[in-house]
Amino acid sequence: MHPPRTSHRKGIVIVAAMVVLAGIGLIARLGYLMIVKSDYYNELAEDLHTRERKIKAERGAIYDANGVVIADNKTVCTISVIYNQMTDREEVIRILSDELNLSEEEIRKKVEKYSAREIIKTNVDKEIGDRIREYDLDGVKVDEDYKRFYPYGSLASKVLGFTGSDNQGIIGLEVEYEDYLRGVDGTILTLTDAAGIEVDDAPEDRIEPIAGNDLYLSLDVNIQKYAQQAALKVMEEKQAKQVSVILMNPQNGEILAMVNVPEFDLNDPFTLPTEQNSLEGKERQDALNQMWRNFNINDTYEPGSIFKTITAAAALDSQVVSLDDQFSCPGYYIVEDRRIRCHKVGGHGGESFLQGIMNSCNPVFIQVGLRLGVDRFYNYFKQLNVLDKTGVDLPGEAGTIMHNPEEMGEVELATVSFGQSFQLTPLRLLTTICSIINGGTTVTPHFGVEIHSADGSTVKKLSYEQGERILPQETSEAMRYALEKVISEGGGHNAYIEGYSIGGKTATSEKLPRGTGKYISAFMGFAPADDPKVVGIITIDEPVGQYYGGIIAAPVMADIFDNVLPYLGIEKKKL
Amino acid sequence: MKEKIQKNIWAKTDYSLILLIFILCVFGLFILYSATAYTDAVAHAGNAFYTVAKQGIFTAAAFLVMFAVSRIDYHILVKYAKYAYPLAVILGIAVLFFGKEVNGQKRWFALGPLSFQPAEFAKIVLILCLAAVTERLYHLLKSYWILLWIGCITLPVFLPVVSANLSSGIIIFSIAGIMAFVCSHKRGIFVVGGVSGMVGIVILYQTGILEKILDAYQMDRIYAWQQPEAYASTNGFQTLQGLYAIGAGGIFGRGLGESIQKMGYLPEAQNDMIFSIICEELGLFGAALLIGIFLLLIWRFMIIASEALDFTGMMIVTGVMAHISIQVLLNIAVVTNTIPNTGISLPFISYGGSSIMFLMIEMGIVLNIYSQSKRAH
Repeated sequence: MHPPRTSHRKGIVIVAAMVVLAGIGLIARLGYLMIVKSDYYNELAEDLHTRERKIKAERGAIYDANGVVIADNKTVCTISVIYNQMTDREEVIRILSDELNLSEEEIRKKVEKYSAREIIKTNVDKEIGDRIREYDLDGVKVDEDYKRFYPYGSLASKVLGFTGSDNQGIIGLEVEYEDYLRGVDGTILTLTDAAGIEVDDAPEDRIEPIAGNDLYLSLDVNIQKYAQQAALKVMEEKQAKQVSVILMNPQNGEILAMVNVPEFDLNDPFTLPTEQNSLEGKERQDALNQMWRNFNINDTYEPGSIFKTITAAAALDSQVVSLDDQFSCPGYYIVEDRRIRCHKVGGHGGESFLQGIMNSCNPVFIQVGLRLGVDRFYNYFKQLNVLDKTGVDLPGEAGTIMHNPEEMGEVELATVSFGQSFQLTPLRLLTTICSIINGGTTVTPHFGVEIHSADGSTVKKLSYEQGERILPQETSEAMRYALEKVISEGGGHNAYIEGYSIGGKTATSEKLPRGTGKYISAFMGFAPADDPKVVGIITIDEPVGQYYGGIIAAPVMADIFDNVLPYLGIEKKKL
Repeated sequence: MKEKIQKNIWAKTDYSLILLIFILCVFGLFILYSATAYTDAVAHAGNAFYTVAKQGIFTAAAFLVMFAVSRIDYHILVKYAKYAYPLAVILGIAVLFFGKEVNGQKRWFALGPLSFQPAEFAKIVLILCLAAVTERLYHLLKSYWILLWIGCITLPVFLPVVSANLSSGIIIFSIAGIMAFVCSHKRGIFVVGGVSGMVGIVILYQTGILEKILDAYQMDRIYAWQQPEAYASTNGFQTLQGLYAIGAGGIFGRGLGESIQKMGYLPEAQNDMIFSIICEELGLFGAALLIGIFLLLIWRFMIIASEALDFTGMMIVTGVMAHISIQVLLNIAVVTNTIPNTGISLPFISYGGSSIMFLMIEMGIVLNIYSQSKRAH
């Protein structure tokens, strides 16, 4: 047995001293981390720990002109399970499978999966959610949420639009009025653990959501329904690709109905028609976009003879012609080296300008167009806003595609005067016609009338830029007179309704490329002819068989007017 | 004579050491409860005491073991250490092949519900063996031969341990190194060795040779050590989570039980990283206090070693002191990202049944050394 020596003890003291030094060094290091770097790490830690949970603001509802709700919110429930809180898994599986109509295996898989929170089913009806809540099962959570709901299904689908999963508008008015409808989401700031589970008893910061505003439209559900039915009927009869209808008030631009059949189900907007439903990826998205397209504003077409309304108004206003001026139609008209045919092969013979309008005679309009000349005609396009977008409160409005005036020769001038070789949207066409027949003032077509706060306490009237005079009263009056003659005695006689004075114009445009036998048949009409309260346009895309607008489109508008005019309180005149 | 010894046994007990150990253990259990209550409640159907109850039982048992060991004359242990030595080597090798795999590495033997790390056993055996050998070769202490002997004794224990677990290898190496430093009269070589070792590592790193020597995962740890934020989702994750906890603690901490990082954010919150939870809850104040208690413990060891009855006792206490010191310093250095991450538990505080058991055996031996030295005076 050896004694420890002093030198050994010295060694131990050296070791201990070094340990103490190292310990002090580590305390200094800790001091640096916990005092100097404290804010830095604290901030990083805070970001990690708190979770901002959104409280969805209730989206504003959309009402029609009668105060009928056409876009609403439905309370739906999300059923989820929390693994660690469940006490009787078998009972949970049994009850959920009963209530949710899901197989036990499917639920078992989720219930027995070890995760913080497993969603069993979303978009569950509130009634079922409430029933499940009443079982008071441990570890089963029923969370309520809002889901956009459209009580009328496909009615005005391409106008109203719908919202996505984040409750944001995707197309239509839902997009246009997003800022009003959306409201302001609230937030709950909560402390969570690493699995994202909220920590009990931790203080919560809560900012209440503000519900969105309600939107009131000029659109009338009853008129829309009737117009949609009429459009569907003619689409089926004529095996057409699509049929679109716009009905509006020519005095103030309020749109009463806008139909694009086939419509789609707003409550199920991502399901394509059966024959297309197998598409994937980009093709599918394209097909969906096509399905959601609103022909009346998103697409342009060659307006054909309805555009003669505008040519006539310009010609009368500039006094290059009067209704009584005489013309002669041999069945064609030669412009430069081109022989442009009239739709009546044998020609209309001698006729006045008024008769030319009634007959929709191309040679008459070519001559009137040539009298106007490119510059003057083009100035009228500007004056009558033909080249501008209408400013309708819907997204994605297409602009007019017109010749450049510098490159417009006599042939172009001739074709433009009867509505060919350029394109615009049906709504643009109709909006300019509103000005022509309403006494000569501009209108902005629109749906939105008022915005009401969620509690109804404040009301904001939406105003639109309109009322600017662009034609004198007299020209407007002459046009109303001429267009009434089109119906009562001319090519639009199929739109005649006994007891009503109706003005209008037919159109049949051959689709591009020419010669494929594809047409768009259209009719524009308004009533009463002397003081128009409603103006409408119907376009039938690619009808099979008879395709003259005057024969297939005019009767549909007549049918709509026959029902809508009494509904609007416009009585038939006793003969 | 024997009766007198029996009578005075409590009078010759180092109460201050027992008190320090007791404080550490109780403090450890409190922190362990705090660190595990949330995750336990989540994982074990609301039983927040799952981990701490197990550790509490182990700690209580370990106390009994400590008292039992303190009644055994350490010379007997030293005498039998040579039989334990081959066992430590064999167990160390066997665990590489037959051990239970945890996190991809075989370090544990599973014996039913208990698991046991041969490295823990090897540490005690090595301390006892080195004490025995240096006693036997006392005449060589003034020559370099003793260092060679110590190296030869250490190597068979060290090699299997270091191949299973780098951190335990570092501890065993450090224990042997410190014991050699204390007993050898040739101290200059340690200074030379230490300095040239550090310079060597720096040169190896700078020249890129280190990259070729170390495993890829070890290099990754070095990179993560330098820039934990850049490796936030991989190797730097644990370190960064620990730093969040430490930084969030500030001077006085969030308060006992208020840690957020323990809620599943910080991996190994109950084990290697428990010190960061202490920092988060008790702040710089609490953390410094804990380091202070450990330094007091080291001071006690220093006193006991210096007053030991004989050279053997002194060497044993030196070994234990080395063991505890290295483990505490390395653990805190890792948690504060002062050195690259390597798994080392914090003695008396971290969760682990076999760890506390072997620690308490060492404490029992130290207590016996103390009481024998007092009885002799």
